[in-house]
Amino acid sequence: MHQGPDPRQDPPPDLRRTLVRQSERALAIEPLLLSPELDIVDGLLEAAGRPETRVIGVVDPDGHLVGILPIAELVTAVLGRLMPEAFLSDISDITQAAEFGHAVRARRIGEAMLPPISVRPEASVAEALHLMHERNLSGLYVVDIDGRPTGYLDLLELAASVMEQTRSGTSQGPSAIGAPGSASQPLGDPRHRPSS
Amino acid sequence: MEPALAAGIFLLTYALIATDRLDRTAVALAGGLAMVAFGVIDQAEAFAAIDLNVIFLLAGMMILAGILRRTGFFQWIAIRVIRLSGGEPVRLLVMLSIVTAVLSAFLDNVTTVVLVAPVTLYVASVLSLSAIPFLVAQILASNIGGSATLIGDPPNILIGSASGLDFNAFLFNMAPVSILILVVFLVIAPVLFRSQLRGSGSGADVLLALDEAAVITDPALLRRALIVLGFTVLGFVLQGPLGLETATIALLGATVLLLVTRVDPEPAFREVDWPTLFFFVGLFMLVEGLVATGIVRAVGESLVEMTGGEPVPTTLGLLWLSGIASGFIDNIPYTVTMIPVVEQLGQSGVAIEPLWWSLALGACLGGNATIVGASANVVAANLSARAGQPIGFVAFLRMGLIVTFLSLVISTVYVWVRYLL
Repeated sequence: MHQGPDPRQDPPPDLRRTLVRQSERALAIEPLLLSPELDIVDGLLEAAGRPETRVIGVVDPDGHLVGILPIAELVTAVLGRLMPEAFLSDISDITQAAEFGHAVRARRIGEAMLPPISVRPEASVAEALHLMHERNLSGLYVVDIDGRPTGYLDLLELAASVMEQTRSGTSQGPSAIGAPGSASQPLGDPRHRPSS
Repeated sequence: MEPALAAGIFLLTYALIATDRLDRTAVALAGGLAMVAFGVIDQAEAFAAIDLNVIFLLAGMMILAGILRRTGFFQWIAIRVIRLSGGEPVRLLVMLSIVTAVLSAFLDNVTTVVLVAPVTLYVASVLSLSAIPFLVAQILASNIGGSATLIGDPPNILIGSASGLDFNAFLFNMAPVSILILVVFLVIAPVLFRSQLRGSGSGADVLLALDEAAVITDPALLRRALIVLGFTVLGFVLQGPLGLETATIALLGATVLLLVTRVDPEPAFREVDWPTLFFFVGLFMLVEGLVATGIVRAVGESLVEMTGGEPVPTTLGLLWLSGIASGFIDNIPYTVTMIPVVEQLGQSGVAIEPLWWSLALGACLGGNATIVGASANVVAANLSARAGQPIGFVAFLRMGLIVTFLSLVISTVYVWVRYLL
């Protein structure tokens, strides 16, 4: 028997009025920020130590976000050179061909990264969701007015907190999704809160 | 009034296609429909002008290529060639160019270039070389190879359908000169690209360790697809005795492949490049407006007047005009426009078959002159830029002009010796 929330029947939280900075649970995962000069293999090993962060933020020496690197792209860049057959067989259009070509050329993180995509803390959760969906990203960096990352918004955590909020039935209004004091508390799973 | 209106609609449509600021399919359709909307031709005339043999031949071959591309076949061939080359850059350039040319002669050029390109980008990366000379060579080889057969390039498909010249006629008349041009190209390409092919010598062992069998996603589908493709090509060869049009053979091949492989037809039909097919539809209607108002006849008569109806200047003039024009404007609208002009020249007493070969050679090979000269060039340039290795307009032009000039000179000698002496 289905026990969870049914999005078809339960009223959804008002994501257009909920701000990114209020999405505490979705922001619980720490950003993984790397230098563009870092070797892609070292980057892969760093990312492997932080499996909960699925999009790497690439920052310049001043801490500005200069690019992003989804884990899947990084894996293609590293393994695409070692075992290209595994990736070549799936290519059937120009976009896939270009992405593979871009990835296998990279030696450093800066060469593999994609242009920066980020949101401001005062953006709405709906905008962030739309951006992640549109760009096929599983995470998004939240940046300050100078473009420095201040947090990492995880798609899965965001979705989970939205569903918890829906299930709690207190979804209307700009309450923090999963924030303490709201009807839905963030999960306390330590895997989601890595210590730095 | 009508001829002026038709000419105005035609020139405006051409200008908009050439500027590339609006989608070419939408522009061609708008131009074709404007001919109907302004009463230059009626709907029945417009629709009757759409050459369904061309449309369905293209659609059938797109479905065949679309299913084949999902099997890993193109990547398999490319890796096999890389291993055979021993990872030596010049041999690689030559062998990948040959593979691209041969595949392009039977399958569409864009599919060939898009699926061989990622392998090329990988190879260049491993050898620490720029991928650009390899990609440029493949673009040039693709257009040369495409000129060899009736199904190799859209201008040939258009000419074949309008002229009634069959697959074998193209094979016997176009393939010899295409092979000759390819050989000359393969001799000069390593010289043209020599400075960019000097690598450190490392990486060859990595390439030799590649396993081409690993890229085959579905061996059973591949076997069936190749068998059906083989029978389809055989059908083209036997087109005369079978008494079938090329579109019927291509559609039959695509349908049999769908039936024997039982692949989901929905993604297979999505592989059809509908914008290109509607581009043709728009152009057919557009040019019919010119034909109906007598403009094409007038152009043909003035050409005969200019050349005095002499076969040598008329035929070779058409070859060079087509070669130059196709370098700068899309060779599909150019060919659609020139077909009725050639028919008019034929009616004026000029031997028509050499004119068809001149138009085909000029339109196909002229596409090599610039990076915007043919669809394969534009797609490969786009792919290369997105992969971080942009092919500059001028960099391509340097190679493209040399290769196009040599191609047209060889074609001139061939047409003159074979048909005009």
